[in-house]
Amino acid sequence: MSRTVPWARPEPSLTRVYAGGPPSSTEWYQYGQLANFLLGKGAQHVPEYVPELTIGSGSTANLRFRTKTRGSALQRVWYGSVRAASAVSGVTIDVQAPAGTGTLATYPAPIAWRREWPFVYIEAPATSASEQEISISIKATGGTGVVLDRLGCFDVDRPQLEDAGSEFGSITGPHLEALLSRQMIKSDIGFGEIASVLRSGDARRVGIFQLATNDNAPWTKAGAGYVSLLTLGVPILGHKDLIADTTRKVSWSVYAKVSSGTGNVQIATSHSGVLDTVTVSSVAYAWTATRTISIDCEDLTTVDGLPGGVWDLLTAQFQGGVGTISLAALSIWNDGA
Amino acid sequence: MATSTLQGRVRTSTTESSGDDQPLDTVVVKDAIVGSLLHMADSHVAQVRVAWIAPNTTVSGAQGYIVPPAYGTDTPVFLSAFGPFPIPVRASGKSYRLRVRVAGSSSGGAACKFYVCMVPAGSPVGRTDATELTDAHLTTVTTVSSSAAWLAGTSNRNAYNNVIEADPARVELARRVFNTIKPGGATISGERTEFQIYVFGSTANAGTSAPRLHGLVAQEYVG
Repeated sequence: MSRTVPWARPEPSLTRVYAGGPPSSTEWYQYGQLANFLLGKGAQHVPEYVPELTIGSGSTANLRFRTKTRGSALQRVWYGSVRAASAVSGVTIDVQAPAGTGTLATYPAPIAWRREWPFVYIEAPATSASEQEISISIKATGGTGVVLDRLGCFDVDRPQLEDAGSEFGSITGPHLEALLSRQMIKSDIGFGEIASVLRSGDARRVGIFQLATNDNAPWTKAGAGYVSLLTLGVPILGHKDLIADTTRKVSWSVYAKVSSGTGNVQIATSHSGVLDTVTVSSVAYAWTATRTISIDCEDLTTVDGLPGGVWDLLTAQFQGGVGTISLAALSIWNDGA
Repeated sequence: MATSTLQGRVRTSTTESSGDDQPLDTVVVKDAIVGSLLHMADSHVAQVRVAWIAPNTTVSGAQGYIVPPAYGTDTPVFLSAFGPFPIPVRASGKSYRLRVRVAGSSSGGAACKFYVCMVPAGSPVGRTDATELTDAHLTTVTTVSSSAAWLAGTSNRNAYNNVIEADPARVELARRVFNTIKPGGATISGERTEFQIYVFGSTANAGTSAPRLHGLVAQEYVG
């Protein structure tokens, strides 16, 4: 028995399904492959962005993101690039994920000024399908430090799902051989397995927008009066689930603190009409309670997926109160709700 | 366009999947099984690979854009590389499309153009410069404004504005074998396609204006 995940997506033909002529076993085989593809394809948790974060020699930057991981993920890839902060080259970086506790990897090549130097770090987290923080720390040594130019994070694809038993609660990827020998009739190890993937399999588009900086160098605002966090609204779009859906529920949270009193972070969207505010009252960094909003979802009848040809633009602003608010991360992700 | 019939997932009840050896209804198979599988592969699986807009410079203290250190008039120069990330492949051999948006500005009022290419990971920038700028998996956008704005683009060889893709030849160049683990930690190898997005910029007047990149969004879309 095998639950292999094809590297390229199968595309079974709908025209092979017609009344009086049930689909053949080879068609069922493709249905099974496609179900395994849904479960095995990795998610992007942190869509790549440009931190433009300077990390001095001897200093460590901790970057934190909130997401809901998939139960199928066994490894995560953190990737990005750095460059020397000045003409003084010879700097190296130490990377750990989770921040400060993960396996240490040193990238020893001398990093030259104005030359972006890529790094790829593989994390093997405990399997989990829960909302959680994922994080990375980067320490610079030598020269005058580095500038972190790019950062992103995705789950590694699964070439094969577990052969025996169930990895995802009641959901299992189909045994492909079972589909070969049992065509066009109900069967718990054939049709039933595909149906369970369709009902509750986790193939989410996860990361919607992530922005984080070092919690030692946060974005700050003293006193009341909102100020924009972003230069422009950022285009966002959720995946579409059921036929009549026009919106997609996504979750958001910020990693922030205030020096005293309370502060606020507010997000809004241009097309789906979101206006949602969270209050920050902790004097130590903490994630705020997760909130849910509804953004536009794709319209798959259009060439670019945009509903009405319009992008849903997300804006964010924040303010202090009697004190100063310090904001180190804004996370927006799809938790599948 | 979508590959499913109904552009959405069709719910199935547990009773439809219980009871061994019973015949299946054609509509159940077509809409609820095949159609739903195809829809989830169309929309659920498609990930957001890049979502960057520079933070407001007044709160971040950062420059807020990427500008080339040197540039000439009407000569595309490399601005930035994103990735590598694993882009799924369709049954046709082409990659999933990327829905792209670029935020840019011109520092001095002369027309500045931005080019977005989807290339196999590790492609030499020089070669990309020479060949990719006239190819289909490219979108170009132009601005004369000194204020950052999301710019509308057109792909060179297809009708899909703001949407790019890799053809089967480039998919093959992007195909990589990788090692990962199975539950329990044993090593297993697999295959995936690794792509990068390269962004180039050019200016109509190098004496007055530089192309400035403020943001990029790239979302997978089966198209």
